[in-house]
Amino acid sequence: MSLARWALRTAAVEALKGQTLVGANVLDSEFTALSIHPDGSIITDQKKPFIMVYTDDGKAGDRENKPRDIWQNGVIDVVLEFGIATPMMEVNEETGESFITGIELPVTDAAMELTLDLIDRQITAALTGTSAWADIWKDVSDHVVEIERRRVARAENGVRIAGRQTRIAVMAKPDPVPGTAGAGSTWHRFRDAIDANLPALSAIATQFIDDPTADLSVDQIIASRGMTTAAAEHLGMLPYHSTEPDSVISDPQTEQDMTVVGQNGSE
Amino acid sequence: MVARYEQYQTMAIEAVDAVMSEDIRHLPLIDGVKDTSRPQLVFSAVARIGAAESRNMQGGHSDEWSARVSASGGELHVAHWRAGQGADELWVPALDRGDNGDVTVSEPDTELFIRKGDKVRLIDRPAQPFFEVLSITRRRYGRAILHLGDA
Repeated sequence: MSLARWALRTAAVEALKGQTLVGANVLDSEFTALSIHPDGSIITDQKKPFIMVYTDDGKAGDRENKPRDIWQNGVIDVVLEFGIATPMMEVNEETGESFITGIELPVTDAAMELTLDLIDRQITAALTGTSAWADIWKDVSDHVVEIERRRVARAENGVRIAGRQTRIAVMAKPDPVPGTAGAGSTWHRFRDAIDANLPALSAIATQFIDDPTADLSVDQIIASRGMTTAAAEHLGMLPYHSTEPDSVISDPQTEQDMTVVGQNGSE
Repeated sequence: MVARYEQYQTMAIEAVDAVMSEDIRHLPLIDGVKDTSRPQLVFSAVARIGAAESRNMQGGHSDEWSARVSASGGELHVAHWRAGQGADELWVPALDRGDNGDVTVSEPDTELFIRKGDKVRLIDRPAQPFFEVLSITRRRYGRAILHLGDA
């Protein structure tokens, strides 16, 4: 489902901002190219090392006892890509030297790898830390299923670049059925954090996470299991003849004098 | 390119480079730090800067990596050069533009070689962009090629 994906991405991005060497250059699902070509006129945040966060494929298995519960998230891949390229550093105009900001080492292949090692460690520290966003990130999943790390380094195609990809497969909690996310739940804490820190997203957050209803309704239970009406009727969750008027017992009476009649008619 | 046309090729290179070449500042580096054993020099070459191309971090277009980086890189085509001792070394004549507009070109000095890992700056262009020498091809006829990466 989708809410967990959004929460995982946004919580990761916000938890990482300012906590690593890339500073605020943490990008959410950016699929246009980071423009770093040296035309000299464009100097943007992309001229710095970056971390990009996105949620990739997900799969929910073990469906035997939950026939139509499609609120499940199962395993979602949270992917963090981070990289550093030679144009992402300011060049000393006199000497031509470039230094990697933050670790103050000249740009060599070894220094680029070391920088990525440091960013990797800073990412882990930030996501496991105690910040409110990290806490939400952790709480959206029940456990981490698998961690995969990949690496690239190349000096062709017009740029020297080194990058890493950390793929964290998490067992995410199921998305809540509308009206069931309680006030203290992960989902409501996520919405509160959006309201407090990212007000531009508040309107859409209320569409994802509405206010909880006072009582859990039968309809919500049916939705949570993806039951058909017939199945719900058979389980006694819905009136069996829903088109008939309700039977009303208006004047219940307890019979006071009971006469027990024997099999052979004797009293 | 065959030797039969060598003199014409040489003439063509002279004519083209006289028009297309530009001044390039060489910034010698060793492990990313200024190499004080080699002086900075200005030389002349034809710079061909590629169109910025968007690729993922692996250098391709697969979906395994999502972050895309747009880089151009380029090439410097150097007509006047001599092979240095190492495979990645290129001796070039230094260019000196006097105050009165006179241009003095000095013969390659054994100290004045360009090596992989050095930087160059295109000082005739707006914003004077820097590039890094990623590799050097010396086996082409006529000109040597410095393969450049964005810096």
